[in-house]
Amino acid sequence: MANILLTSKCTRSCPYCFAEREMTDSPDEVMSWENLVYLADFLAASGEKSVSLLGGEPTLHPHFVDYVLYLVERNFNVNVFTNGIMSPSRLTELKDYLGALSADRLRFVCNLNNPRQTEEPESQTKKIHEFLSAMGSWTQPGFNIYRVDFDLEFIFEFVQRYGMKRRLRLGLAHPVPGTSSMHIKPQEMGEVIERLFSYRPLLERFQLDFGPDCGFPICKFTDEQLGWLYRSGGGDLRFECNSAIDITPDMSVYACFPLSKLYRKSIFEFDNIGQIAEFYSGIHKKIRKEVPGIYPECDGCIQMSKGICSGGGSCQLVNRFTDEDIVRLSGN
Amino acid sequence: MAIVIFKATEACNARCAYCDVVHDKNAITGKMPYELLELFFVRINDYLLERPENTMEITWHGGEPLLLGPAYFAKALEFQQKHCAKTQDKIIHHVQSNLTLFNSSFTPIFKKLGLKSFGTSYDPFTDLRGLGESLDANLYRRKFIASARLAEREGFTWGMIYVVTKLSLDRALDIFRFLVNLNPWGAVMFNTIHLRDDTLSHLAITPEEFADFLGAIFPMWWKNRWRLPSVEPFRMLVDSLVMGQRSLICCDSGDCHKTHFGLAPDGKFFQCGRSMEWDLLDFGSIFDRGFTDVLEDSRKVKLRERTELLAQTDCKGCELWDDCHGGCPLEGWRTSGSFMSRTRMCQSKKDFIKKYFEPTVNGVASPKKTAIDCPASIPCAPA
Amino acid sequence: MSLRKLICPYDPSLIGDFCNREIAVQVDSPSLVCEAAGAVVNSANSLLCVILDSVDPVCAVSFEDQWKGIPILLMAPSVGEFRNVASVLPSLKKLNLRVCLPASNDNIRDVRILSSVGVHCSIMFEGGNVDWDALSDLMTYALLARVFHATIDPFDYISRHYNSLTHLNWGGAFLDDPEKYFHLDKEKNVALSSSEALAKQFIGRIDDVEKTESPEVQRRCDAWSLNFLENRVCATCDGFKLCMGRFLPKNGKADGCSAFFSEMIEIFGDLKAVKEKSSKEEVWRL
Repeated sequence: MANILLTSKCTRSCPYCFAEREMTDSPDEVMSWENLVYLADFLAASGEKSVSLLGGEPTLHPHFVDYVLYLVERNFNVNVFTNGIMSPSRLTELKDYLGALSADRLRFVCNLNNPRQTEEPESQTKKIHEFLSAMGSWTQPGFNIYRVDFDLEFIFEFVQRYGMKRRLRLGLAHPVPGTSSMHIKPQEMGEVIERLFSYRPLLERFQLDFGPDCGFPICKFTDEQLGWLYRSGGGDLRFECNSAIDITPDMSVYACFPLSKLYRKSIFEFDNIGQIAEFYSGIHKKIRKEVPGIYPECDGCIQMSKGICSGGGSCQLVNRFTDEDIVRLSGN
Repeated sequence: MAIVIFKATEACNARCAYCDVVHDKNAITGKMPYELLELFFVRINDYLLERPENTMEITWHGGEPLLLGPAYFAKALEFQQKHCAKTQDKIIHHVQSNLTLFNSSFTPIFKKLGLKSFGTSYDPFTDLRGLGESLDANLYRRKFIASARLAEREGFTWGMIYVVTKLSLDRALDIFRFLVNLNPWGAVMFNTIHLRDDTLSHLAITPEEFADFLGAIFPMWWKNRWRLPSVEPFRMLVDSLVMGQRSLICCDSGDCHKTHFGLAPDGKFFQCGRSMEWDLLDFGSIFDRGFTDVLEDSRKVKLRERTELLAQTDCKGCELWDDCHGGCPLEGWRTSGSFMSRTRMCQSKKDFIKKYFEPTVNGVASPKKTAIDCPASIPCAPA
Repeated sequence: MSLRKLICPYDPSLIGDFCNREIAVQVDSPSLVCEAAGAVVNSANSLLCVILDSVDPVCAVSFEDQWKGIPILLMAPSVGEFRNVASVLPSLKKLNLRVCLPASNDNIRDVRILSSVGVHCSIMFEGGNVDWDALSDLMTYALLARVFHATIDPFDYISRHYNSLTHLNWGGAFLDDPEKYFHLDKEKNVALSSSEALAKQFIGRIDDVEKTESPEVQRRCDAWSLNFLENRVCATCDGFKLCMGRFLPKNGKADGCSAFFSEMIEIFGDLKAVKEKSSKEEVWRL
């Protein structure tokens, strides 16, 4: 799966944003048409059927609607990771031009913050509601856990009110190596998982599936929890760090936001996505040779040796290195 | 294969600065009488009957052969059909012309003679070639280009000889591009200027300068040979040094004594065209002897001995012997006053191969079955 | 003089005056496309194409199902936003149609987009302001893109007709080749290119031009020779065989044109292994 970053701009300031560095360091760039066509060719030649649009905030791109329609015309299924905060005119465009697309060709993942726990201007909250009113049936809720006392209850209300897709994209706020960004520390994983499973009755009542994103270690789940995860996820349960490839407006590539400064390459150095994935897989193996996992017991863990669990995300592993090691690992 | 450089006239409408013919006060500017023309074909027939394995190439030369007019060529065809009924399928006609006089009236007879292409010559940047006594170069160019275009429309192709002089040396690539852009399908041959004496020494070039001129062009030709016409001497060297297939021109073959003849408008036999222009090696009149008799002339025999002698003396052990054979005997004469000497131009070949050819083709200088994609020398005109 | 193909405005009586000619007929309204095509087909002539001159962008043209099978060259000033093009694409792609646009930067971009979604296009560039870098990018895309896309003229035309041992006048991709096409007005006056027809620069009536084998026609066909007669910079350009001097700027100094055409020839070298003619190619070609 490839993530195309349409722009580095964003309208929000999430306290846990692990893309902040990418957005701060990059100039105000937007993906050009020429590059998009190139990427569509590149991904099609690689056999990809789906593409994700990210940012910053992808809907800020001046040609956002055109790009989505173009990618659909190129026979891609399009996933858009959005905060839902957009101007009224942009929302009207979405309704007018994307409203006819079926929900299996176009999907939004709307990153929602708990209004009580994450302070946001009221105007932004209002816009999210307006977005969900219009595009709710194309949208699945997304949530990033960045504090152990996270609260999910508001999500159920949103799903119910706006007819959202009943699958929750649940992510962990990842550390950005070398910074003090808010994130869940390895020693907090158990507590987070316990709290997550306290929502089981609500998840079942609202028939809301969820799939844990990368970074969760399998050892912190009980067998019962794993069984329930397996059933609710339709049998698809992974604990690997399998980072998607991110492609920036200037056609740089890297694997996962938090590691955007490590081994950054140009897409023109590769012939297909498979080569890129292989390259970064090699990098991640290099990282794990030095630090097998986020816990000492990851070293020698059977689940790791079988490839069932990666021992946490690579970003969490790199975060354990000192600055020197990061320079060493960065490939510079 | 035998080749006769056939000058039915030495008259010319051009006055090229380095031409020995037009500056020769003794040049024969009338046409060869029909009586002689007819005898010519009788002699050809005799030769081909005596040597049934041979062909005879008649290269109409001059002067300017188109000054003869279509009717003259028609007469030649008539004589050929009359006297060479059984051998004319072995007679091949070529025309070496400045093309400025070509018009549609030539087309029918040339087609009947089996002519498909012309050999010609052109210089884009100097005023060394011009028409009339005033050597009008602009007029020459206008007429040449218009006539060449007409010839193409009439279904002929043309190949180019470019004579390299001192004035050419600093524009090698421009000259090359100009010629291949003007005529993408015709072969190009670069020849060094050959001067009988020092009268035009300001145009003369050294062997080294000729090598450098070729060397300025060769890498570009080599890289793009798939889309460029055949260029001599490049193609010959590639065939020989890379492909192991030799097809040498007269100067390099060492065989010119048995393949070449020249015939002047007055019926006098010469060794070749250049020998005619330099008034060297004449073998008497066609009235008195035929081609076979000329081949047995003692001076022809001497030229054969030259090849054997050089192999044992001046050229002994030379790695390029098989591609050069001591060069043109007339050039040898120019160098030392003796036909038995080798040419001084062999140095240009050596320099070119060492400095440019071998480095460019990555040292592939030994016979090897490498596919060299190179268009044929003069392909048919495009439809 | 070999019979040229004719490009003429839609006028039934004009078309009816010709016999056994291949005719491209011009209309300026979509509603006339079928009628014009029918007029040629039902006459004693054959239809080369219908040229639809549109003042509207592509997205605003109403494409009709009845146009199916008619070879159409749509001359439009621009494409319009993709969001609007997307809605006409299903109709557009069913047709035997090529979109022809003038070479502005936006259009160079949009031609690539259209081609990538299966619409055959042409980009028209002449002397004057040409962004050679942008065109060069487009050319690379047209000739070397890794994924199948619809053709882009003149690059496709050039690649199909290119012969390393001849000159190529690819004006034929835009019906601008005096060796192949005559542009007529309603009075049967002949112009040798579309821009000359527009400017009413005619050389005579077609009957006279063809009967007398007008020397003006031959002069125009041979006009490229002037580069050699006048020793213009084009005569020694690596890209001459593809350009034939038509892009020489008025100041006589070669700019990006030389690099552009030289690069194109290099690409043909890379593509020397024969390009398969797709049996699925249904769009008519010049």
